[in-house]
Amino acid sequence: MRGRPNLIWLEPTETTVVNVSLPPDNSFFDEFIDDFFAECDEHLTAVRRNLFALEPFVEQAEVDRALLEELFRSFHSLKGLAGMVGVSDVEQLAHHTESYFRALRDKQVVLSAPVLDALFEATRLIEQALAAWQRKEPGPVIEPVVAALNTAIEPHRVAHAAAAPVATSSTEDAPLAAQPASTAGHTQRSVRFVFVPTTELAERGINVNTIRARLQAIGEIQQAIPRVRPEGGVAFEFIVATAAQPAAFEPLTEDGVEWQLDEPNGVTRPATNPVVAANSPLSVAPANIVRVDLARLDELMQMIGDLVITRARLAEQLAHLEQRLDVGEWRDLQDTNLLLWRQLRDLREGVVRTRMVPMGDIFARMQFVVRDLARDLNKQVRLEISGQHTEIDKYIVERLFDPLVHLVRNAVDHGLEPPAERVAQGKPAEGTLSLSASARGDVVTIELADDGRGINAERLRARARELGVLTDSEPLDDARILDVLCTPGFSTREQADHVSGRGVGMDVVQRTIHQLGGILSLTTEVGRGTCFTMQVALTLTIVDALIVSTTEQMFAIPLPAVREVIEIDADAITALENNELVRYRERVLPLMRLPRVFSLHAPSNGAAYGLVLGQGPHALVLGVDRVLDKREIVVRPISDPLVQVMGIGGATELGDGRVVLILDPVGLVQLARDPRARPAAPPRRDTDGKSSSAMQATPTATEPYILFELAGTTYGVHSGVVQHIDMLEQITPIPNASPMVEGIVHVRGQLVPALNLRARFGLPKIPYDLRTRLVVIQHDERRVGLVVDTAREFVRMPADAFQPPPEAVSGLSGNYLDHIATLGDRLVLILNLSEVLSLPETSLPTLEDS
Amino acid sequence: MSTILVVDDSPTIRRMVIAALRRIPDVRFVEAGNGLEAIEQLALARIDALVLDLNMPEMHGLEVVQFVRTHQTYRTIPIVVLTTRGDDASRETVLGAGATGYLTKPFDPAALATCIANLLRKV
Repeated sequence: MRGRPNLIWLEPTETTVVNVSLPPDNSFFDEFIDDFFAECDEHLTAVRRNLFALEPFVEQAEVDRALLEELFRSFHSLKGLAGMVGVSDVEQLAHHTESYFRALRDKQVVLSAPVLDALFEATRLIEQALAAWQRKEPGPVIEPVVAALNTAIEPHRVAHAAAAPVATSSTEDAPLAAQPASTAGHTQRSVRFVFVPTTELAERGINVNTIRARLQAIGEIQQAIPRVRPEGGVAFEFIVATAAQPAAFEPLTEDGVEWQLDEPNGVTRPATNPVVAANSPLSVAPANIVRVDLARLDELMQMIGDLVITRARLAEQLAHLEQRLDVGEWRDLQDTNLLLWRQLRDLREGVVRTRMVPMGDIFARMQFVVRDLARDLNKQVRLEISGQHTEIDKYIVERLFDPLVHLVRNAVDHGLEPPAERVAQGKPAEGTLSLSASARGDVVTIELADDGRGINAERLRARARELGVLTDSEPLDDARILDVLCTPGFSTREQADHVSGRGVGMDVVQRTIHQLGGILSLTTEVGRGTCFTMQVALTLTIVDALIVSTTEQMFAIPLPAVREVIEIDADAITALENNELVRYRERVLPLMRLPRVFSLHAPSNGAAYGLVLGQGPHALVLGVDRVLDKREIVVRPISDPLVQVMGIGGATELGDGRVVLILDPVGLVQLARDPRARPAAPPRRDTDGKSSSAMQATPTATEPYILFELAGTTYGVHSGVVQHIDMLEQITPIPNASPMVEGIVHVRGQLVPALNLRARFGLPKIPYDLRTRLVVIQHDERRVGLVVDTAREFVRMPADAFQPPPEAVSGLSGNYLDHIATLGDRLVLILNLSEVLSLPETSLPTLEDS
Repeated sequence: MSTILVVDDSPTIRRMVIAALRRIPDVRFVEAGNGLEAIEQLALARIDALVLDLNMPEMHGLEVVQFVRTHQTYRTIPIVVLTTRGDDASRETVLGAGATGYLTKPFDPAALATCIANLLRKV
């Protein structure tokens, strides 16, 4: 894989050539692989940006010199890097691309459209070859592109060599600096600047690089010559073509740069056009950027997590002091504690911010995708980009790449019509895709809209019916259309074309977004186009976790909390009153069987394996039936009070739609000490709670309501609060939660607690059947699913249908009612959601109860 | 203590070179990302050896070789050129200009270290 080293070295005075060829030390380079990929990525990012900037110069005699210089440099650096680690196909591609840019810069060739395509293709192949090398797979076929680039410069190279047989100019690494600028011309003067570097200046950040960059900002550097000074040391002499007035040199003089006018350069005329900063210092200013391994930031995050816990402990201890201190002292302590809390929160946000990268890079790569595909499909497509500065967690942006590529390809391939068809419909021949990103609060919204044909619901219906995912009567709204598109195996044309090369279908797109805790949605209008919207969190908490199981249920437990996994021999368990003990190393630790902790009525003993948790006196062994897997999971907090249970810290989705609860080791250890322990009450804003639980004003106009049934009675909620209504599929039960809570459900990318309304109203539960529905409502910033017997009506109720609930309705259910509405001969009970969603404290069972 | 000036426009490659040369006892490193910077470093610190890339922005490695060899103060400093691809024309050019050694990437870290260690001993 890696080339053989080739070393020759000569004594300055002798002519002996020593060839040393040792086998390269492969492991040596491994240490730098991350750096290697990171640097390649930086160059590729620059290349992508600059290649698009090159497009207006096709068939032009003059190409922006700074642009060419940057492209040349990027490919040269890629060549050097690839050569260093021995990725020979990348080295070759970069070499030929670099040669082309050299020829272009030296005006030996004129940029043509096919060659620009070849340059794009070469860039894409470099990416592919790097990816293949990383996966230790064979690289892509590069010969056609290499041949195309060679052909593009071949005749010129011969002509050039014949015309100018100067040895160095035809060599691989000929000096390229100090080319006189042909554009310098008449309006500019030549100024000679002299800079003498010293240690003192260097300490002030003034060095040859910064001086050069500043000179470049005031003119075009035509020559940079280092000279040894007679009195010792080095002086740099820069000849700069500039139209700037001497006043502009003043700051340089202050930093020790001397200047004088060089001999006049051509006819000196008053400056008609000031020097344009075509050579903006963009490419020379040393970037103030530090590359940091994500793992280090994760470590920082972990430490902040520890700090948060310590502060909580401090707050608890402070609470004990309240009685003993006078009011002033107590308030001071509390203020300091509060300040600490705020600063910790700021610190956490600060670390989160350092993980953020702009969406722009991934958007620039979409331009490639669009360009390639539009050419292959003979379509005219314009990609409009906005919000490229929106920042998002690096981890997320990398995982969004494949889904975004798929959506963009779908839009170009299926969404946009061929030019002729567009023109026939009165649309411009060129289709428009717009890709935008925006952040609001903690959520980033990425939208991809096309002005194509839209999704034909009726054609989709036929296909969906074939697949058996849709019944005839069901209306095909946008949400349902998305569901159908994302059904595994659904595809109208995809298998046959090249678009699905990555093996990604819409189902995979949706799953990836869901894994990130995001939401995918679409709006479409026939003839007008389709818009896909992805909403993802700005940042995520990701941990390595062990997936463990009891007979009934799987759980995830963060790996850092697990000191060791041990096998437990049933004979090695010693019973001691209500406790059990197992031997671990030189100690005896309490055994906590997971099925028993969570009152899972499993036939198993729940202790084939033990996870050793906690430290010192708090150490314990958590018994589970099986240890299934180790994997990275995205922690999604379960914040709704309905599902907050001691020992459960959150939930994650395994990618196949299954929701797995994440055990909270700290909570488990606490539970072992005190079985009645409860999670800290979530901060509830009392005033808000009261106001929203107050009776709703009687509607004064016709309002839309969703009706559902429960034990023969019809209930209604305003359609504005209903997010969607779903069939009940997999529910993940939450052990130790209220019996009214069925568990947690994964619906459309969200984890939603499911509240059994029958149980909530004190009615007997019934088994689920085909009519059972989950009505997902959004209320007071909470999203909860209500399990009801059935729900299928949408009605508009006139204002005069409502009346307040009669005083005589007493008892439990009376509190849940806002109004009673009369609909023909039916009564509809309109629910007070604040009441319905607030469970009485006593309804939370404790471990002792079960 | 010897000081080695490592010149390459790629920070990754500079890091690799330095890692390879760390096995030489009693050395410190100075870095430069282009030819002008390399000459500035020569002027500011006592440099005992140079590891030099050729094709860099701002000033080509060949010019650095020429500068070093034409000035009395620096002419004895050994220069090992470390460049991409074994292009015979440029190899002859830089060796002709006075480079002490010529090595192509990918380099063998042990060989580079041995080569530099030998040169330092001779200085």
